[in-house]
Amino acid sequence: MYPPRWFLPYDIVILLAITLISMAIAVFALRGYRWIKERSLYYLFLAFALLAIGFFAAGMTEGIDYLGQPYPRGFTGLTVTDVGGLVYYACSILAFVILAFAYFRTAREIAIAPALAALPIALPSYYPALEAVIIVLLFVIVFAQVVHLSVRKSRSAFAVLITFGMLLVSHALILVSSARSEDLYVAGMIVELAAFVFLLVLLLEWRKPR
Amino acid sequence: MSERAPSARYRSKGRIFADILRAVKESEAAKPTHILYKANLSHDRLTKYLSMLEDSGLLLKNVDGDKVEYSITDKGEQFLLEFRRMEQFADAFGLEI
Repeated sequence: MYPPRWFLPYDIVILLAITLISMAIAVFALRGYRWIKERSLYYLFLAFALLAIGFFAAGMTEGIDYLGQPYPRGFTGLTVTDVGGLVYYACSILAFVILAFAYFRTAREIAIAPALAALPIALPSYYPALEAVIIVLLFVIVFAQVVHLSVRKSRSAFAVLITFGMLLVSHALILVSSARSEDLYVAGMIVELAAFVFLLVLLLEWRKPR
Repeated sequence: MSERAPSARYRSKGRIFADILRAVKESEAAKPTHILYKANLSHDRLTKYLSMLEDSGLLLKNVDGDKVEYSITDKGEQFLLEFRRMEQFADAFGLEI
C-alpha cells in the first residue's frame, strides 16, 4: 500500500504524530501498571508501544526513501519502505491481537499472538492481505467494545468505541485504495490520524486528577 | 464516576487494595473490624492484605495498647488516585482491572 508521491511528506508527518500519541498512551498505561500491577494495563501498554514502534518504523523508512530516490514500482527486491511496511504490519497485527485477546485474558489465547504476528513474514509485500488481517482484528475489538458498552454504559467507553470504529474505517479505505484510487489512501490516513487525535483528547481527560 | 461497592465476585489484588484504602480513608483512623466490614473480606485475608499495604507504605498501623488502628499515607492517597484513573482508562477500552 503506497501513498501517492505528493502525499508522502504529509504521510510521514501523520505517521510520526501517531507514533507520539501511541507512545503517550503506552507510557500512561505503563505508569498505571507500575502502581496497580494489573495485567489489563500491561496489555494496553504492550499494544500501544507496539503500535508506536510500527508507525515509527513506517514513518522513518518512508522518510529515508523520500529523501533518497522514488520507490520503484514492480520491483523484485525489498526497498527500505518495504522493510518499514513489514515492521509496521508485524507490530500492528501483534498489537491488535494483544488488544483483542485482552478481552478474554487467557494465557492460551495470548500464545497465539506471536503466531499471528509471523504472518507478515510469510506474506512479504502482499499488503492487501495484511490490511485484511488488521481489519478482521479491529472488527473483533469493536465487537467486544460494543458488547462491553451494552453492559456498562460510559461516555469514555463510547468514545473509545468511536475511535476504534474510525480505525476500522481507515484501514478499510487503505485496503480499497490499492484497487480503486490513491485518494482513498489519503482519506484513510486522515481518518486514522483523527482517531488517534481523539484518543489523545481522551488521554488528557483521563490524566486529570479527580 | 460512581465507585463500585465491594462484592463477592472476583476482585483483583489492586481492587482489594483500593477497597481497603477507601474503607480506611472514610474514617481517619480505621479499626480492623470496620475495614473488614467495608472491604468485604475474611479475617485471614484482611490480615494478609493489611500487612502487604503496610509493607508497601500505603497504610500506617497505629498501636496504642490493645487498640489497633490504620490510617492512609500520602502514598496510599496517590494509589487511590491512580486506581481511579486506571479504572476509568481500562474501562474505556472495555477491560476490567
